[in-house]
Amino acid sequence: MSLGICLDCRRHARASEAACPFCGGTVQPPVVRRVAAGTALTRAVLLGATLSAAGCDFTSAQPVYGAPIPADSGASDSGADGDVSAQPLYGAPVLDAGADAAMMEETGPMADYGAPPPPPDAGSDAR
Amino acid sequence: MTNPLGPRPKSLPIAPKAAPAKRSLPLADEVRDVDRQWRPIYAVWEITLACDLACRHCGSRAGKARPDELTTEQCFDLVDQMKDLGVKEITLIGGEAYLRDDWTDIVRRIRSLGMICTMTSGGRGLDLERCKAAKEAGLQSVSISIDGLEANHDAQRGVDGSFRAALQAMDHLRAVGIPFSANTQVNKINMHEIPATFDLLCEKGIHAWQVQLTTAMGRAGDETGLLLEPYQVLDAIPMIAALKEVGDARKVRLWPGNNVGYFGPYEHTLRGGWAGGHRGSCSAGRRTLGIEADGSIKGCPSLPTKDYVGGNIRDNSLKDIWERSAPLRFTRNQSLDTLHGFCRTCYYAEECKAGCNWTSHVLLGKAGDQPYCHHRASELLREGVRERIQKKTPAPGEPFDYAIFEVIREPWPEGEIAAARAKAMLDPLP
Repeated sequence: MSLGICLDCRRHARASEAACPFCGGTVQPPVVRRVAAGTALTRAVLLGATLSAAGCDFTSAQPVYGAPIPADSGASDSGADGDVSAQPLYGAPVLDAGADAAMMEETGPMADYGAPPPPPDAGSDAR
Repeated sequence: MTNPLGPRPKSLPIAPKAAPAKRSLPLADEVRDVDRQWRPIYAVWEITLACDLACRHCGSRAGKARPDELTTEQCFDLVDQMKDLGVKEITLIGGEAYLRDDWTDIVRRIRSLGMICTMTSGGRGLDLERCKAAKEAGLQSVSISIDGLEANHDAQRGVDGSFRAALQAMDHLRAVGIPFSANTQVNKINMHEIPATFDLLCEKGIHAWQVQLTTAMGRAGDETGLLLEPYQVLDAIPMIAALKEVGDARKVRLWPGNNVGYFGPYEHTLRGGWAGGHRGSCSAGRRTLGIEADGSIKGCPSLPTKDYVGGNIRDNSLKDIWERSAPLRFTRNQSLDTLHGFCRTCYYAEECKAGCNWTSHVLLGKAGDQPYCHHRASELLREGVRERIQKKTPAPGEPFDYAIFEVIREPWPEGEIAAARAKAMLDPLP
């Protein structure tokens, strides 16, 4: 299921909806985001918003959660069904380019679980 | 000063001795493609269950070390296996991780293999000497647990002076150059002072703040006055979302924990910056690995031992347990058919799959239906009803155990529903 975001109430709604089921507003489809080939799959990349900082050229698609899943595996996860190379990562579009872009630059990797990762200047050499 | 939690329940021991690890657990004969495709990138490792605090909400009932905790060499071997399996980052926890004499050796081993190493701590004994040793070993960040302002924190931690000790730990970390964050549980007795707590933590210089709801496991399940009612997420989530914006302005990253959610009007605020734009389903056994101090392996460190340990590294390789044990496979096998109750027919069922499996399992005895959900509480409010919890069966009193609660659905009280609907920006009932 691909989720977009309602431009009025900001709730997530199926991209296929003609209108937001919660408020009747317009649902903006998710943008396609890809991770550059060879990018190490760390929490920073899979869960966060450091793609722009990494200067990715968006050459190959990766699911947000989990390893690339072949089209015939039968396994599924959000945003990872079907043909990996053409599959968009789901995600909120940049509605307010300035604010959202700034937020995405600032927030960095997000915790799936556990303590937040160290800040970028904490001597990490594993990303 | 009156303890906001009241007297500690006396029916169970504070720090029971854990049972020996379950050994020789069965593994599937075959590895499926889906088991090979998922690899853990993040491990949370309880390196000892020994603890110098007595938190009233401790899910693991920490205090005494487990009877068969891994040796140093076994720990090193496990680190090597995690590296081989693809782990990129390890958070050390306890109990209290620094109570192991070899804790910095473990840090050093992790760092020598190029993995990120952080720690979560109550901070009580994190003195300057320990911080210096941690820095020298390569520890990259520490998350200090803070449960409210001083009186509330000390009451929840079970030790007077623990708040001041925790703040002092932050000072020591700063002095040696280790960045620090904080983590806070939100519950009935501290919700009113969470904003003030966050303000204090920002002033102390945290780089991030993880917030989650107190979950009904271990001692927390014994404390009837602590747990939020499910309908109270209607207050908790907007508050956390508002603090997210405060944090953005103060350059402090807010990390919503896995049981903070789901898909309500504030999901975009809380997780809009994620690559997915919102939370997905539980990553236990897919991207996350949990390890107990005796070598027991789970998909997530929080999950109860009884139901979710898939194997022990003294018996099998980490790779074999990861790929072939049923408890590690459960989210790989999750589908809409594994959901029940409200979650089965929820609009977000496919994406969410009932949110945090830990939170629901230790409340209801099985995962797949999640009362602590903002979307759910909002939809029920539209119908004029709300959910609260009531304990049916007490916990037995072992580490990582849980009581059984039931969820009671009831009409919103007449005197409260109008305000609740207004706050949730719902139209008034006719």
